[in-house]
Amino acid sequence: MREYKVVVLGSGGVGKSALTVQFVTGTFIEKYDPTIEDFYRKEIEVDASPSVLEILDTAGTEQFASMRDLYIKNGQGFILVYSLVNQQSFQDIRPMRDQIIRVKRYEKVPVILVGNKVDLESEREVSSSEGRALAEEWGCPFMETSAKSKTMVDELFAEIVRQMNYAAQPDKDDPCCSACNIQ
Amino acid sequence: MLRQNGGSNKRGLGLARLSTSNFFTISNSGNWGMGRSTKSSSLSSISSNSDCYDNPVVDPEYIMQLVNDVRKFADVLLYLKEAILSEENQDGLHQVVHERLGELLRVLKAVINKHQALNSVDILSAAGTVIAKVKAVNFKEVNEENKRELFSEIFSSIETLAFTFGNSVSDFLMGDVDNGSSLGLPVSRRSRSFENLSVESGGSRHERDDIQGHLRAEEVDNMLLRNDNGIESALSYAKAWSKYTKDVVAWVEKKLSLEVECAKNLAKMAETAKSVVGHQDYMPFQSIFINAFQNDIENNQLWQQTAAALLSNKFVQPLLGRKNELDRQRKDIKELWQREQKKMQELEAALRKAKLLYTQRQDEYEKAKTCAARAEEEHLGSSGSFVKDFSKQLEKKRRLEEEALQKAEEANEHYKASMAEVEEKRNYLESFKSDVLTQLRELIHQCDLTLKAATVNLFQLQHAQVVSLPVNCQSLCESAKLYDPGQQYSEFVRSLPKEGVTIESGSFETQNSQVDGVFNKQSTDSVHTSHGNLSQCSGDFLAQTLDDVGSPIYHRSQKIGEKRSSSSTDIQAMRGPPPFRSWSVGNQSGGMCSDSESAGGSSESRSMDSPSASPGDFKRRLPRTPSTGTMSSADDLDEREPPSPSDCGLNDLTSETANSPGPFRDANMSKAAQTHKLRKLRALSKCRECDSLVVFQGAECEECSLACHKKCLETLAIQCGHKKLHGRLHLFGVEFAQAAKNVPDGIPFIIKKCTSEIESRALNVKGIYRVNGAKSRVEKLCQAFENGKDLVELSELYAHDISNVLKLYLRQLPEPLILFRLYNEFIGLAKESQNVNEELDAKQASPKSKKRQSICIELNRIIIKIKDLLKQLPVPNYNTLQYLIGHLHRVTEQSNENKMSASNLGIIFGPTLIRPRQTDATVSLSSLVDYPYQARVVELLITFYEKIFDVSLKPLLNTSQSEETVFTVRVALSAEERESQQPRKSFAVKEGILIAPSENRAADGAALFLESNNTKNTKEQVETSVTECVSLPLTGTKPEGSGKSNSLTESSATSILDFNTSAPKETGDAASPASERDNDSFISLGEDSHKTNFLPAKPNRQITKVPLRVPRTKPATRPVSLPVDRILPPCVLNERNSRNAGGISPEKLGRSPTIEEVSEQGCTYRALLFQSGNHPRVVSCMD
Repeated sequence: MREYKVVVLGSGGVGKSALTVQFVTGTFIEKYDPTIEDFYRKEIEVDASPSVLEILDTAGTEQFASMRDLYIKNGQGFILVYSLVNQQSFQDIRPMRDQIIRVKRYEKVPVILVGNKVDLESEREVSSSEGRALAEEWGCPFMETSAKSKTMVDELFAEIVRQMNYAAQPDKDDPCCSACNIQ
Repeated sequence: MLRQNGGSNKRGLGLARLSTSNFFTISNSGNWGMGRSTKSSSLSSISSNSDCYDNPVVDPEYIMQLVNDVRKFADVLLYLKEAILSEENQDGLHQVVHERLGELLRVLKAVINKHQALNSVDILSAAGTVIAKVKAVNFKEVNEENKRELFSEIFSSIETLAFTFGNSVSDFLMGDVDNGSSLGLPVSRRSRSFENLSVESGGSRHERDDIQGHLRAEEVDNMLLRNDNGIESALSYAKAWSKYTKDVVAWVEKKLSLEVECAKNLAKMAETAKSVVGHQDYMPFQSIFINAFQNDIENNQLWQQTAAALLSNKFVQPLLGRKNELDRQRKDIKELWQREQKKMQELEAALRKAKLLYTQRQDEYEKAKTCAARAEEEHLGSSGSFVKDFSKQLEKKRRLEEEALQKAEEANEHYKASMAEVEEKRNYLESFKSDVLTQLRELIHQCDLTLKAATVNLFQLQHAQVVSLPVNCQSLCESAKLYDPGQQYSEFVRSLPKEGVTIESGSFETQNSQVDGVFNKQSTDSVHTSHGNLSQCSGDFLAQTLDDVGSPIYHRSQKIGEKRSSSSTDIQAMRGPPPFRSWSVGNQSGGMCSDSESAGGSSESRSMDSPSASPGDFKRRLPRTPSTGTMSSADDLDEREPPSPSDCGLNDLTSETANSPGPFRDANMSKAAQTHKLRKLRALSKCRECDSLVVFQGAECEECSLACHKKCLETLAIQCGHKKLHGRLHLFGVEFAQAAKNVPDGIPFIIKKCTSEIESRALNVKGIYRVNGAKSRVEKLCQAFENGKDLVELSELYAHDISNVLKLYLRQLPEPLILFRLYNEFIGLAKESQNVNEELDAKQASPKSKKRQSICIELNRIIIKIKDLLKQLPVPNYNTLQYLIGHLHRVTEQSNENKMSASNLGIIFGPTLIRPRQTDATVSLSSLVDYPYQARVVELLITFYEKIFDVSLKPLLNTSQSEETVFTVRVALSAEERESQQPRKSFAVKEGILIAPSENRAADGAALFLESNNTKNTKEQVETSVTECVSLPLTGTKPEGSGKSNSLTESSATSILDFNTSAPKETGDAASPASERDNDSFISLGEDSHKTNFLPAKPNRQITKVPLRVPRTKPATRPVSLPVDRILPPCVLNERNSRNAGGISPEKLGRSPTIEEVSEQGCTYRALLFQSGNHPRVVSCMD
């Protein structure tokens, strides 16, 4: 059974923990505690193949930003979460993705861009098209989720597994190897 | 002009005559050369600039002309400079300089006449300064030492003129002719102001008089010379002058003090009135009055400044100085004169004496002579017998006579000598007198010169200080005339919240805005061509009113319901910019003002049509989607503009009424920017807001000399401190001690400023301190703090940005507030407290017992220890920490709203306030291990703020209270913190997998042999209560779950659990007696189990605990955030132990297939941490 190491990144209070816990336990946490770092495991079946997801729920609060390199080093797939009711959290995503690329040293890291809190449609500050445009720029999937109403949560994690599967396939030109050769 | 020019030449000649030769030793220093080159480059850059700006409004030919004129002007400026600098031709220097100056003025006048747009007060005043400076040079006084200083003033004034001129030209070419500075005044006024200049430059005529005066001066002297009392009268005149001057100065001083006082009072009054009136929305003429207040304030400031200038170097001081000088010299001369006079008198007296003596001697001689003659006669007439006697007598008499004659001759000699002496003295006195008279005349002349300059200054300044008044009043009057009575009322009514109608007016607004655009265009055009009395602003104003009138009400009603747009944006658009802005005169937001609702559209149309509108101004006002839902996330506050429509209105009002004066009236300014007294930037400098160089479009505060781009005024955060702004200071990343030593209590201003701002308005913002600010804004704010110190205006900024800056500041301290050397001790205490916490939680369900008290004692002990430790901090650190923790404590008091409990804040401020000395790259690893303890330290500080810092916020809770009270306090205050720990425990139980902390090994043995039991236990539990593992945690969240699990109680399981729990106890708190331990652990297990029905055994006592736990809503989600080694529930430990033992396979646990343990190799994330950290970690496996 393949193991997938997923890291959930995003700035503070966007709902990383809520998404993760919703996925892992099926509950929505109302609590508003900043995470330092939490780790979860869950087995799911994606495209008829059982997989084990190891999910690292990270600290969004900037005090712990220094640990991010470490997460990224260990992670294989990344879920970049912003809150679509907070424009700033969307702005914060780009540097995180840059950091991933920098640490991983190649472009095609499995990444999903996620706009969370879609249940708060009325307070939306980041439009779908903005998110989609960014995802297109990065060539990654884009989703709008809600941990509260469990919208697209399971799909999200299934998708990241697919992305990681896809990235792991020995491509015609493996981006990783070519990049490694260069550097 | 030409005539005046000639005049100045003559004057130059006159001065040259007076000048002494030492003036002509000027050498061309390198400095000046540089100054010249920079200036010429700036001028050429202006001309080149002007080429590249193609403005559709101005036709190219005109621009070519303008460029030529500008070049010409630049040339004459250069000529002037060269003339001053030239070494040769020294004799005619004055002449040349004044010639060039005349030329310069002529060219300038020509240029200005040709290009009316350049006719600005700025240029004229700059030119005036140049003239004054050139004139002010007393060529007599120029010598090697002071010439640099003397001429540098001229050069700087020339620079200023060039810069101002360049600015005006660039503004003009960029289509941004400033209403404020270009003379939107009547032509007459303009020409008059030019006349002023001419008079200034043509002070020559007076000078000519002076020259004639010099010629006549000899006559004056002669006349006085002829007069016996000439000197006395001259001196008495001088005395009278002195007295006169004294009287005049006294009058001016008294007048000025009265004026200053009056100005101060008026300004205060206006300030008060402004603040009061400013808050009353929808009042007619509000903006006009606010403008009037502002004008008043500015005016009064001007008056104060004028008074200060007059008191210092413009009037009083020079005059008094001159008067004192005069008095001194006058006395000297008088004394000298009197001495001479006395000498003369003495000589005369001596002469008289000599004369007297001479006459006396003459008399005596006469007497002797007659006596001798008589004796001779008698001798002749007498008989022979007496002849002998007689001849003897005669002999004697003759001798006497001779003697007398001799004496008389001597006296005569003396007398003659005295006569000659007196004559000589008289002659000397005569020349001395003429010298003195000349001296006196010159003295008086100089005094007159000073008096003249001072008087000119006085009236000039007085003129300057009132000159803006009529214009302002007139524009206000015009604005007031345009008001349509009742309009504000209708605006007010329209702004009232309503449902259907608002939408209708929203649809109306779109239509209206179009109309508005057209009108605006017209208005701006007309203003451009007519150059009427009214400033352009008032022109806009007119257009607005026209607009209002032009879109009659029936129009509105027609439109009602037509384009009914129900989208919230429309509503917002209409609500956003409040109606009263339509009356804000004097700023360029004409588009916005045109009608209450036409927010975006009109301004856009305006910005396209009008060249004076700068397009960047509107982004702030774009309508935003309102928040209709509940505030479920704090994040959205972050970016949302003003929180509520009404707030938005106020904010906009303040920025709209842009009261700040002068050239930046039309700029969109932040609240802080409005506190400045802005004028055009006169010299190159760095923008305090964006830190880049300001070349064009620069603003400068007259009071604090803050320089800033016009654009940056929108965001400027530094307020005016009304004194010269200090230089940039380093704040972030600087040793705390350094920041602290500037303040008496050691609390850096940035902390006070940020916390007080947050306390004033952001205590209930969800996620305050947790949510990040916008990076760019945070950086800007940091910069503002470094630039503007405590003058930074925070009221317009987002709370999250402010909190972020505070965190950033603390985090960037090289050494944290809690010093490195105390780190280990604090972390040790945190570990202990964690332990105690665990016990306390365990005890909560148990009946009152000694043990509980002992725990309280334990906790008290820790607190006292913390207190002692904190005492070791330096005073500033302690004070600051207390201040900060006090603030955070107040934040937690609102935690039901802001969700920031002490433990939450602890997590955020933990690594900020307490961190280990970082040595190398393993930083993050080692500190990661301690994060939970750092957080715990801060949490303890916040929770026990009163006790630790001896502050009695609540008088009830003082240190002397019983442990019982302490306990309840603890329960009350730390409910949240325990909540956050409980779920972790229970979660760990659920996961059942734990990576062992190394310290816990002692427990391993004990746990090991229980392991099989435990496995069995789990198996049973899984069989009975768990079918779908994923759903387990869900049930765990509900209190009923615990009830269910209670039914599973099994005596054997209980005993096992008892034993198990003792294991963590042992490692954690060796102090607690073993007998107690069982009990404790039993209870703690019970607590855990109520949440996680994984646990098979539930003592009945547990049920009493359930209600306590109900409020906890996040049971299963916090596996690792806090250290778990001491909180670990037994069965988790057990499982972990079993794995560590390696003998028993995890499958024995009998989980459903979806439950997966983390295998050793699966701990990849943690592997690194564990290796380096040697620290307990829970790796949870969610099912």
